[in-house]
Amino acid sequence: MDICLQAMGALAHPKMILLIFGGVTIGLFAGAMPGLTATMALAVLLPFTFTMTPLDGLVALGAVYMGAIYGGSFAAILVNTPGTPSSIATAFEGYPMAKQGRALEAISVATVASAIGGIAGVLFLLFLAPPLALLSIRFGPAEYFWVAMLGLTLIATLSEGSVFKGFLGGTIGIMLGTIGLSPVGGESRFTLGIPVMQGGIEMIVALIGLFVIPELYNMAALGRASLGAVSVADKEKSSFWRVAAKVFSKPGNLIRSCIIGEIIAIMPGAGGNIANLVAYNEAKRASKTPERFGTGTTEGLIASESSNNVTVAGSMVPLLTLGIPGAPPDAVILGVMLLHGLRPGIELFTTSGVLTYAFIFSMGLAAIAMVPVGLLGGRLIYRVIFRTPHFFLVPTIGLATIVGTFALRNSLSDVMIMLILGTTGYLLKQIGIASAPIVLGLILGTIAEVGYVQAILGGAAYRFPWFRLFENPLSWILIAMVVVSAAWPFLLALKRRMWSAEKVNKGGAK
Amino acid sequence: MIRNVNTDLVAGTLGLLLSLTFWSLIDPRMTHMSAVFPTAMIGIMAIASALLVIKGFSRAAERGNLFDVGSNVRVLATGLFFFGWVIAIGYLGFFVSSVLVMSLLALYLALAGRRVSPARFALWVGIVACEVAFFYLIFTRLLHVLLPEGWFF
Repeated sequence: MDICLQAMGALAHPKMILLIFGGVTIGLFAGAMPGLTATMALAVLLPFTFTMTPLDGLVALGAVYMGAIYGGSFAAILVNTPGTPSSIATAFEGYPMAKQGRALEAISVATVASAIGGIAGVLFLLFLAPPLALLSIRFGPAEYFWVAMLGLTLIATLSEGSVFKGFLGGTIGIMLGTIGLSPVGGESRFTLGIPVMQGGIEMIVALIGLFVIPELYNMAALGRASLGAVSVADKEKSSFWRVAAKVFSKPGNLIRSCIIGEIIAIMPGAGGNIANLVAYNEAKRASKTPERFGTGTTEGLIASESSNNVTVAGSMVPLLTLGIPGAPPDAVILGVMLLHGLRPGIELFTTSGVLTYAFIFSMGLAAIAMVPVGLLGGRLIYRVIFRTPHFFLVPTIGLATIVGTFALRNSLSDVMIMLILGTTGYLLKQIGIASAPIVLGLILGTIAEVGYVQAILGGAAYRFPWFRLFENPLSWILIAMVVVSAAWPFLLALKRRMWSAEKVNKGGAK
Repeated sequence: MIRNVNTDLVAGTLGLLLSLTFWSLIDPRMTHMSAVFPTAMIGIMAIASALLVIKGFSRAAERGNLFDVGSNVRVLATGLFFFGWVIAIGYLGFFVSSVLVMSLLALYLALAGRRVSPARFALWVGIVACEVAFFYLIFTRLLHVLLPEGWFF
């Protein structure tokens, strides 16, 4: 308790408040820029922390991390481009809301949900770090495989119309993910002998191409931007208190999404990119009006944004307790800690307790700082995008995507791949194959393959190596979740059919 | 616009062709561990495609109009601008090619709905140059990303 009070005291300084607000603002703009991920933002700002004290450095980077994950929602809502992979599901609901003239409402909902998610992540870290750290080391290759399978059941949710087309899109994405060197064995696959293809298709390259380029073609075709004008009624709806009341009106959705975000956050290597998709899928499954998902419902937006911001502090659980970065940006934080002689483990919470707890509290403050920064920044970005004529918007977004894609690996080939994928995505959309299942397949297919192959290799001593996939109780729980999640849309359809048949029968009896 | 297309049949056929292409690209010398996952996925892709083809021949087949939103000529031209832009970056460098292509693309898209005077276009070129310079400086000076060089820098 004494340590906690000292930690709060350390943060009660104008410099700290400035660092938090400055970090959140920088992170927000970095996250809003397609191609710039939270990891890149942290890596770029890392040298600036060398001259800072350990606490200043950690507080600044923690705030940038929190702001960047949240900032991804801006681009997702306003231009249908997830700024970071953690905001993919945000685009599914946020962009339709923006097209209906509800952009400010969507930004406000995303802001409040993100802040709640950020605070929930800090609470998980404060109170449940030891048991969660133990759980995180139980996740082996088999569990990763099943988590990926759980995510892939989302395909049925994301299919616009035909489920078969959704599966076809998903498998196209998975096959795109297999291009390049195989993760186990390092053999070259499907490269057509082109050397640059050895590096495979970077997930963010595909993400930018498949989401942004079709939207730019649409804008060019229509001869106008897609954003709808915000009405006076919508301005009122986007007020902080009304939005907060709306977000809290469905606590089940919020709590479930936060828990999903935390469980995925503690898995090393997995993060907001998977959490937002799984939380969105579960929100749709649990919703009383699942048919409204994809048309601009706030439930999906809340699920996506709360879950991805939980992962910021949530992924610190394995980092601070075991020294295992829960997500790529955590590796940068780990670097700062090691640079200042701080070693993860129990010592961090005892010998350097004040610093550690101050860092944890600062992330909670960063989550709160997102509300004023986000609401003001969101309105500003909305105005800029809304007032810019389409003939400037198309080249400007094109510029941002080209330079953002190039910056990932300093490769013009990546930019060309991004354009080819985007154009292909536009053509596939014409025949009913949406971009979302393709991206989902690309993200989760790679995780599924690595998990599967490593599990099989681990079970090489068994008569049937694939038994390894069914060995642990944690795998059983995940398998049960996969089965329920996959069967849910069909069960729901069956239930509806029975219900309507019953209604017809009753009508006939009358 | 292409009217009343059986999209299930088109998607299914495309999926079968893709499955066949990926299948033909599997190297027989590939180890089991490298081949097992893609092989399984090609199988699933082929099954989903075959089901779509079957559905395409049934009464439940989905039909729709293709390319029915706005001007397809503008879509095609925008695509050509984008691909030309990336190719030009390799020769002219990031800055020059971006100012050139962005200005021309803005002019092309604007001409669809209004007249643009030379003075106005000159102003637009200036705005675009400032925009590109902003991105150029952020990426080269702050983020230390070496953008492709050509003419001038």
